[in-house]
Amino acid sequence: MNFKSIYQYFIYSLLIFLTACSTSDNEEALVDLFATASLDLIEISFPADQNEAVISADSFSDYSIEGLKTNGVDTVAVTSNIVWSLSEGAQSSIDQTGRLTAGSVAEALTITAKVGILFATFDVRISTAKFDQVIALNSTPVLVDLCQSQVITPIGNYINDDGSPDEERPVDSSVIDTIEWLIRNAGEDPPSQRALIKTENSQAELQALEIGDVIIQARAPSISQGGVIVTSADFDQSIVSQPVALKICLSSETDLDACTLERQDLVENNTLSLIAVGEYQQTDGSNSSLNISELSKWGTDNNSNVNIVFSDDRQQLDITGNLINTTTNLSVACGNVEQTIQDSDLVSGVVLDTPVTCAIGNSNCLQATQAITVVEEVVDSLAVTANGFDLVNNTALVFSSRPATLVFVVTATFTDGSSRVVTTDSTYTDDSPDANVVSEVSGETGEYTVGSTGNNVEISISFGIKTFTARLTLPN
Amino acid sequence: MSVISRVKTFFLLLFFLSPAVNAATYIAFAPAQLKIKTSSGSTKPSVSDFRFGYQTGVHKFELAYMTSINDDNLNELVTDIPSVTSLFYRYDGNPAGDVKLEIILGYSQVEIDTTYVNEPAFNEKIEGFSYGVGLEEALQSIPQLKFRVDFIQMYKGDNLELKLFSVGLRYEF
Repeated sequence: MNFKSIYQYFIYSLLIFLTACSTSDNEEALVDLFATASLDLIEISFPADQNEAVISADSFSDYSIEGLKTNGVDTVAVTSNIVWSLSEGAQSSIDQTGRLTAGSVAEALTITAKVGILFATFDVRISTAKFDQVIALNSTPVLVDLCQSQVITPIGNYINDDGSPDEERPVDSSVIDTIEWLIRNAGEDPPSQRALIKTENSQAELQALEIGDVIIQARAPSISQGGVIVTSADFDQSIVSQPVALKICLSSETDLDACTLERQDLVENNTLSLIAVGEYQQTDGSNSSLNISELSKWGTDNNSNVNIVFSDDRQQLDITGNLINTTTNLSVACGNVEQTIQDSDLVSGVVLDTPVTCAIGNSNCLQATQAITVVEEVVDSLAVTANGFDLVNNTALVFSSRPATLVFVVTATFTDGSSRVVTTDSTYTDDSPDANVVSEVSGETGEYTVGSTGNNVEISISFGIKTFTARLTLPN
Repeated sequence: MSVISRVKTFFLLLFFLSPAVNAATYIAFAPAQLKIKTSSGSTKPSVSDFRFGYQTGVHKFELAYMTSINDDNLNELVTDIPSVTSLFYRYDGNPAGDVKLEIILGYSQVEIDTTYVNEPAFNEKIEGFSYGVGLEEALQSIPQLKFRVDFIQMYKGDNLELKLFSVGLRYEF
C-alpha cells in the first residue's frame, strides 16, 4: 500500500468524522449555565410591585424581573440574557424586551422569563373592562421629599360591558399617556408650583418642588364613556420633608456624603460640571446625601462671565468660562425661591440668569453658592502646518514646487494638557526677507497668496505667550 | 462513530505507514489553555497536551490526549476539562523553511465538568471538527527536538466555541 492511498484513506476517515456527530444540541445546557453564571444569579423572580397582574385588552405593559445573587442576599434588576415567552395558546404576544401586548379578548396567560438555567413565571389576566377614570393617585400613599421625585401608579376604575363588577386596578400604560394632571395649592385656584407630574415612557413621576399641601386631579378620556373627558375627584398630597443641608460638589465626586468644594478656578473656554447635593435624614436617624440637581433651581450673578446650562439628563450643571479674570457666584436653591419661576422652566429645568435666593426666615428653602473664577488658558506650545506639512519652529521647510497659496493651521497645547486649533485667534507678522513673496488674503486669517518672485518666507505666529517662526523656502 | 473506533482507525493507519520512506514517529508535550467561550462569558481552564504522531514528508498524523491541570471560573461557575481526545492531520506549508507553518485539521472530543451554586455537577462531552495552525522550529543543538506552538479551534457551534492554545516541544525518534 503506497503513501498516496494511505493518505486518501485518512482523509476519507476524516470526512466521515466531519459528517458524524457534531454536538450542537449538547452545547445548549452548557451555554445556559454560562448565561446564568455571567450574571452571578441563583434565582429570578417577578417583583409584584413592578408587574401588573391584570391589564386591559388592546393595551400593553412592560414586565421586569429581578435576580438573587449567589451570595444569597443581594437582589438586582435583570435586564440582559432574558428569553420571554407566553403560555401556549395565548392570544396576546410578548417581545424580547418584556413588553406584553394584550390581544383583544379576555384571557388568562402565564409569562415565563428564562435566564440561562433559571426560570420564573407570572400569571396575567387580560381584561376587557374599559377604563373610566382615575380614582387614586397611587396604590399606596405617596411619600416624597422636597427636590426629589417618585414614580406613581395611578389607580383606575374599569367598567365591564357585561355587567360584571367594576375593577379597580393600576391604570394601563396606554392610558397613563392620556392623563392631564391638574395641580393646585390647597385652598387656592391657580396652578401650583409646589409639585409637577411628569409622564415619560408611559410612566408618571411626581416631582416635589416646594413644601406645602397640593390638590391633584387627573383628567383623561374615559374609554367606557366613548372618549368623554372625565376629571377625577381631588387627591390630597403633602410635601413636608426637606433636606437638612444643601451643598455644591463636582459631578465627578462619588462620595456625596463627604464631598466639598473650595475655591474653584475655571479655565476660559473650558467646561466645569457641578451638582447640587441634598442631605436627608432617614427614618432611622441617619443621614444620606443625594444628587438633587434636576429639581433644584440654579442661577448666576453674571451670565456674561460664564454660561450655565443643564446637561441633557439634568443630572449636572455645566459651566463654561467666558471672560478671564472674572469671578461669578453660582447659586442653587431647593424649595420656593424669591425669584419668579415660569411654569415652562419647571418642566425643562430652572436655570436663571439671575441669582436664586431664599427669603430671609424661610425655613422651607435651602440655598448654597459657589464662586467660580475664570482664569486664562496658559499656552504650553504651538504646532503649525503649512499646506498640511508639519513645520519645525524657525527651521526652513523646502517646497518642491511653488504653491499658489499658503494656508497655515495653528494648534495650541495648554498646560492642562488640552489642545485646540487657534488659527483664527493667532496673530501673524510677515517678516519675510524677500519683499512681496507672500501677501495676506483679506478676510482669511492664516492664508497667504504666493507672489511670482522671491524664495524665502518667514511668518511669525503668536498666540498667548508663545510665538512660532514659520520659515519656508519656495522654488522659482 | 465512537472515539474508540476512531482510535483504532488511527492505529491501523500507523501500521500501514510504518515501512514508508522518510517517515518518523514522534511524541509531543505542551501545557495548554483551552478557552470555553459563549456569548455570555468565557473561562480558560488549563490542560496538559500529549501527542503521539507519525510524520512522512510534509504530512503528520497525530493522536492527542489532554488532561486537566487547572480549572477556571466565571463568578461561581467552575469549569474543568477532565479529558480531551483528538485526531489531527498536519500539513507543512513551509517545508524548506526553518520555521514550519502547519495547517491542522482534525476531530476532537472535549469533556467538560462544571459546578455551580445550588446546581448538580454537570458533565458534558462536546465533539466536532477542529482546525488551526501550528508553528514549529527545531532547536539547533538538538535537531530532533522542536519547539512548537498550536492555535486550534477545537469546536465551533452555534453559541459555543472551544479554542486551544498550546506551547511545547516535539521529539522525533
